[in-house]
Amino acid sequence: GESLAKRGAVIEDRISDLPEHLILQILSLLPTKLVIATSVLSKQWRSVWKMVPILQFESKRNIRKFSEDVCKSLLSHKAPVLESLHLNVNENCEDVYIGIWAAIAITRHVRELLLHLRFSYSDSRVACFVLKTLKLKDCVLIDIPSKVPVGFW
Amino acid sequence: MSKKNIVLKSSNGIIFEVEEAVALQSETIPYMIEDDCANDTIPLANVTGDILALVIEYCKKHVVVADGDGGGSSSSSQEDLKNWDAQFMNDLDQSKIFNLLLAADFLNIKTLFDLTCQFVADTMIKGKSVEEVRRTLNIEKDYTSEEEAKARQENEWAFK
Repeated sequence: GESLAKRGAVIEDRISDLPEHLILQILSLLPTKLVIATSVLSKQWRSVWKMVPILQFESKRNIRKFSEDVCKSLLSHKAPVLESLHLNVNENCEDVYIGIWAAIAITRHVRELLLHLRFSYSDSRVACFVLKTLKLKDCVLIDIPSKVPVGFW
Repeated sequence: MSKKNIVLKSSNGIIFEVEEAVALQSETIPYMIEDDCANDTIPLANVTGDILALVIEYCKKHVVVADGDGGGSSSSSQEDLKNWDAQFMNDLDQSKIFNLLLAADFLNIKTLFDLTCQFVADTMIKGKSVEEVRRTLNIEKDYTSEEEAKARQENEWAFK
């Protein structure tokens, strides 16, 4: 763009030439929706998002559609370990959705599951031995599985 | 206690002499010191002089503040440092930013690495459309319109 030209920068694609671990590090800092959108930048970027170890989703109104998008993304995801999955849910949602997300996250070897819910929740189906951290915000958890360290924000 | 200096040499042969505390913000350099028993110049084959100068400027600033008020920096000095970091990054062109990222990774300077990654994410990708990201980062679109449409369709929700 114009500002770059003013700064006298050489116009070249530097980011695509970075080692993969650096690209993944940068993408880990962004909301997953934006990360997935990078798949249309160029052929090289088509599947990069699938290796990003940190996923962050935020719901917008339609919880059912949100759940579909989360599940589909998790099932396409290919990183050997999902370091962190952050689900920020702004609507009331049924327990069954959380059970589904947790179940899929577990098959993706999730290390840290952050659920930011705005309603009370009483289900221990998120219990799992590969999970290192479970953080719950603004919700009530009954029947805490003993193997999972629970952090309340 | 006398301050020990460390001599660093860039890939293009430029010599920098810095205080040990400045150089030791890199977690890579200590290994190079141990390996190099001769204890003179440490050659950094992956970092050019202009980028090494930036790395040293950053490390000097951060070591000063860490020493600043006898441990436990005050919140105002933390704030100053944050502002300094923002200005430091803002003054760089894109090519320097990516070279700095590679240097921070190679030298293993965690705070500088995090700073550059965050800057790239925030200023070059966040809040931009696909076309804007392409333009900002000079990424060549090698998809045909048909292929791009297909890729979009695969994850339609991400483009709404």
